[in-house]
Parts: sequence; structure tokens; C-alpha cells
Amino acid sequence: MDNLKLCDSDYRFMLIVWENAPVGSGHLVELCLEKLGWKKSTTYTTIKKLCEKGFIMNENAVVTVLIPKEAVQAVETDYFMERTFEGSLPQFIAAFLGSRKISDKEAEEIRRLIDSHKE
Amino acid sequence: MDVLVKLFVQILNMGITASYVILAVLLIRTCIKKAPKIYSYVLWLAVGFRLICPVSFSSVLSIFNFNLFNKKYPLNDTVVINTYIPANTFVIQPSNIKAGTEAVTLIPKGSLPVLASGGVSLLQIVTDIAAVLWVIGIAAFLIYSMISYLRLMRRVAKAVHWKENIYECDTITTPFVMGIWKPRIYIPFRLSEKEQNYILKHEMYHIRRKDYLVKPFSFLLLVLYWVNPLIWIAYISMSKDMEMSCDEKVVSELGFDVKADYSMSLLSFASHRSFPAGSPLAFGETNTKSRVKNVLHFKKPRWWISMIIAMICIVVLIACTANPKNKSEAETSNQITGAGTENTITDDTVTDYAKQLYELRNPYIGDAPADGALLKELGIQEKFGDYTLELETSKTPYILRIMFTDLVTDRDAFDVKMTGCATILLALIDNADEIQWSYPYMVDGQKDQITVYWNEQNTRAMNIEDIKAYSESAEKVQELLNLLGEAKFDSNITSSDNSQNSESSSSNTGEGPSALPLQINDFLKKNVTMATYLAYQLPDGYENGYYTATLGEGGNLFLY
Repeated sequence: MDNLKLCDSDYRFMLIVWENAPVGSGHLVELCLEKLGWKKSTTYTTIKKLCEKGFIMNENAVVTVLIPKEAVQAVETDYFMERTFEGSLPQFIAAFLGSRKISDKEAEEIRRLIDSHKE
Repeated sequence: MDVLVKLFVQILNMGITASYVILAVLLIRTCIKKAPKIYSYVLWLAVGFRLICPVSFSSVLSIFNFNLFNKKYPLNDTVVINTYIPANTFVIQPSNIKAGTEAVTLIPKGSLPVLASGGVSLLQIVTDIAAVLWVIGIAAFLIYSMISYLRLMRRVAKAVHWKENIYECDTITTPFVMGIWKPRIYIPFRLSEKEQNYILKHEMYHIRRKDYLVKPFSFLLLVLYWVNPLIWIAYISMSKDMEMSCDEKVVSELGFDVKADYSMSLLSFASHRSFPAGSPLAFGETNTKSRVKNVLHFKKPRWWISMIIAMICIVVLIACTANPKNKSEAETSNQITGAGTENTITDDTVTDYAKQLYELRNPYIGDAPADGALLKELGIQEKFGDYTLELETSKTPYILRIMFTDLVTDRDAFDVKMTGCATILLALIDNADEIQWSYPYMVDGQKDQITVYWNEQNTRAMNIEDIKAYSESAEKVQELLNLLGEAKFDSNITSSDNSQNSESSSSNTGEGPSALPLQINDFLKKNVTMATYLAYQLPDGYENGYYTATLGEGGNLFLY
């Protein structure tokens, strides 16, 4: 799963792909120019690289997604959890909550989430 | 090749001028260390000006007026070029080097060794090689910076546009500005909001101040002057001042309580730097330690202190960019311009020119560089054309021979002018017994080599008792200059030589005072040099007047 990690630039690129896929590569170039300020060559290089990594597929000048956004975000979250909170969920939640108060509704929602994930 | 060598010498000269300015700026910079760095930064303008512009305006307020600059500036209205190494220094005509004499060329004072071998001079080879190495160095620096620039361009290709001209990039660890036409700010991803704020303020200030142009431009100058180590110091110091003044601006804009935070972010960028240090066309952060210190110590000076420092900077700027204006403008004409131009020298003033000549006096004729410096100061090349210098020092009489290469048309005027210079040379080169000069001249449609001799006997004929005594002081040199200016630099040679019986020479002919040399010229045709000789020195027992001269055996001249 480790090779699902993306650098920030690629992640920003993938956000565009996820949102628009399937998308023609020509249109993708336009989108990248508009949203990222990338040159045509940069976009094509990135498409090629991410095809090799297996994130996307480029067939007949149409780019489609192979790996969903959630999978990448999960990896990113895992990495973040591991690095920042030594993988400890309670630590993470404690830090997240900080001095914030949560409403009853939120608490209920979280409780349900925890229950559904119990082993 | 010649052009290249000339260009090289020009760059060396300008580099030397700029070096003095750099030293001055470095000195002032240390004095105002505590002041905001913007003042130090501004001072580098003077250096830049010196490196770009070969000419400057003159002003009494100039660091070059200090006595430690023992240089003579040929004044030409207000446009002055400072020269240390004459452009013709390295131009040699090998054909003029004769066997049996010690042939040397003008070389800069105490620089390259004097070496002359049979045909081609070693000196020439050395200078050619130096010039070529210089160009190769420039090319190498340019190629290197181009490559590192292109590499950096590739590196930030995937930077993501954030807003305005700000881009975020994974592959960099430290923020920087890049681009000439449309400067862009590149920052790493995931900066905290606070850090972003500092950094963007800092980089935007660079852009507002056009630092992104200053930096590559000064790098180009550095490349051009890469042989000069002081230019490197200047470049590095300037970059430092540039960054620090930017830091100060941010701190004073965001409020002084951000000092600690700001320093922290400086530090965090420094701690993981992998920035291509070689690329001057973009700039990131340098010298974190001194910058952090500077930020922490920075405080806004009181307004009156700022005023004083600003005034100092303005004065220093002017003093560093201006060339010296000499106290007496009369000095301009004081250079021996020959051809009987007006002499505005007064007896009681000692001009800088005389002082300069006095400084250049030389005890040994064998000291070729010193001889060369004197010839240079006398402006031999400008006045008489290209020449080579020969020294005969193997036995007495010690002779300095100036061999001109250009064909001379007006021989009388030429000799009269050269006589003045030769007299000064006799005075200022202690053990010089004789000065000779030779030049090609057309006689009866045939090219002939004329040689003129000038020694102490001749100067005695000018009523100068002891020519060597005129090198005792700058005042004496001035006295000699005045004497020569009045007595020698009009064409009225014969009458002023022997003033006691001048009526016989000047009144006898209708065509004026130069009658005597011309008469003998006609008579002697082939041996025209003798006429000049006679014009200045009649043998003992002869008075000015008309003589018939014949040339006897062994070159003896008989007058009757």
C-alpha cells in the first residue's frame, strides 16, 4: 500500500482527475493550466508517471481513474497518524478535540461510527 | 586577439578602480553595521556603477583624491577614465627588437616579469593566454549558471499555482523568487499560515525592490570580473545586505514582536536546505546565522540617526562614483602638449602632474617598468604614436632609446616636442646618460631611420646647469616643467637657447627663429639629424649665426 503515497503536486493533480474522470487528456491539460498553472508538457509527463504507478489509465486520449480518492486519502491519513500520533487513535482524537466541545448529535454520530468499527 | 587583450586590460583597469570603491564600501559598511542594512545595500550602487561605466564625472569630492592614489588622471573635460595598466602595454612589435640591445616593452609597474627572447616576446604569450583564460572562465560560469537555472526550472515545473504569482512546490525546501520578466514566488507545500505570511512578505518585498533583477545582473558583472577576488567579496556581501534589509523590512512591518517567530522560520529553512546553491538567477536564503542575529538585534533607529546615516551614504556614494577634480584646472594644459600650445602654468604652483612625475622618478634606468611608467605619464604614446623601448645598460653611457614606428612628417615639431620629454626623462631617471629617439622619415622619397640624441651636454646648452638636480623635489620638477614650457615648447629654439646673442639668429632671415636648423637641414640633407643636434647645441666657441657645415670622416661635423 505504501506506493499509494503521492507528493503534493501529484495529489493536487489527482484531485482534478477524480473530479472530472473520465476526462480527455486535452481537456485535462486545459484544466491543469487553469487550476495548477502547469504547462502542457508538465501535465503529460505527470499523466505518464501516474499511469506507470497505476493510479490512472490513459487510453485513446481519455484518462480514467484506477485508484479511488478514498484509498489514497486513507494512506495519507495513516501516514499522518503514524507520524504525528504514533498511530494512536485516542491521542489523535484528543488532539483533534482539544478544548472544543462537541454537541450531543456529534457525539452520537461518533459513537455509532466507533461501534460499527468494533472487532 | 588584440581586441580581446585590450578588452581584458580594460576590465582589469575598471576592476582595480572598483576595488578601491569596494574597499571603501566595506569599510563604511562595518562602521554602520548597527544601522539598518538598507543603507549598506544602497552603497553597492557605487561599485556597480564603477563596474559598468568606464567613465565618470569629476568632483572634488572623490575618494581618489586621497594621497594614497598616486595616479594621474588625464582630464578631458569632465569625462575621465582611470587607467592603471596602459592599453598598449602588451602590444609589441617584435620586428623592432634588435640583437645586442636589451629590448623591453612597457609593462605595468611591478607586475609581469620582463622577458624578451629572439622573435616573439614571452610577455605577449602570457598576456594572450591570460586573456583567453579569462574568456574561458566567463564561458564556464555562464554555462554553469545556465545549466543550474534550467535544472531549477525543471524542478519547479510541477509547482502548483496558488494565487497571484505564488506557487507551491514539493521539490524545494526553501522559498525563493525566480524569473526575470514575470518573477514568481516559489514556496514549499504545507507551510504554517504564520510562516507563509513572513515568507510572502519577504519575497514580495524582494520583488517590489526589483532585487530579482539586481541579483542576476550583479552576477553577470561577477562573471565578467571573475578574476578579481574583491568582486566576489562584494557580490557575497551585497547579497547578504540584500537579504538582511529585506528581513528588517518584514520585521518592522509586521511588528517587532514577531522577531522570535521570524527567526525560527529562517532557521527551519536553513536546517533542511538542499537548494542548488550555485544558481544565482534565483535566490533563496543565505547565511542564516548572521541573518537571525541581525533580525534579533534589529531596531528602528531614531529619525535623526537615520538622517545622519543617509547623509553619510549619499556622500560616500558620490565620493565613490566621482573621479577626482584637480584643484587647478590649469593642470590640463600643463601636460606637455608640445606644438607650442598655451601654457598657463604659473611659477609658484606645483601641479599634481609635477608631483606625479616626481613620484615616478627612477634611480635606475634598468628598471624597465619604472621607465615605462614615466613614458606613460609623459604621454609619449598619445603624442608621438606607438613605440618600443630599448635600454642599453651593459656599459656607460646608459641609453634609453624610444623607437617610434609611425612615419614622421613634421620632423621639427616632433623633435622639439620630444626634446622636452627627453629632458624630463634625463632629469627623472637618475643614471640615464642619454635619451635617444628614432623614427622613420622620408628623405628624397626614401624612407630613412632618423635617430636623435639627447644628453646632459645638450641640456647644458639650454642653460640647465645640472639636469639631475631637477629630480630633487616636486617643486624642482615643476620648475623644470615651467622652464621647458617657456623655453622649449614653442618653436623659438635657437634664440632662447642662447639668449645673450639671439639677435644674430632670429633677425637674419625673414622666416623666423627656426632658420638655423632649416639652413643646416638643407645643407646636410642625408644627415638631417645633425641639424637638430646643432639646433640645440653649438660646439664651444661658436655663436649663433650662419655656418657652412661639412661632414668629415667618422661623422665629424665641421662648421665654418
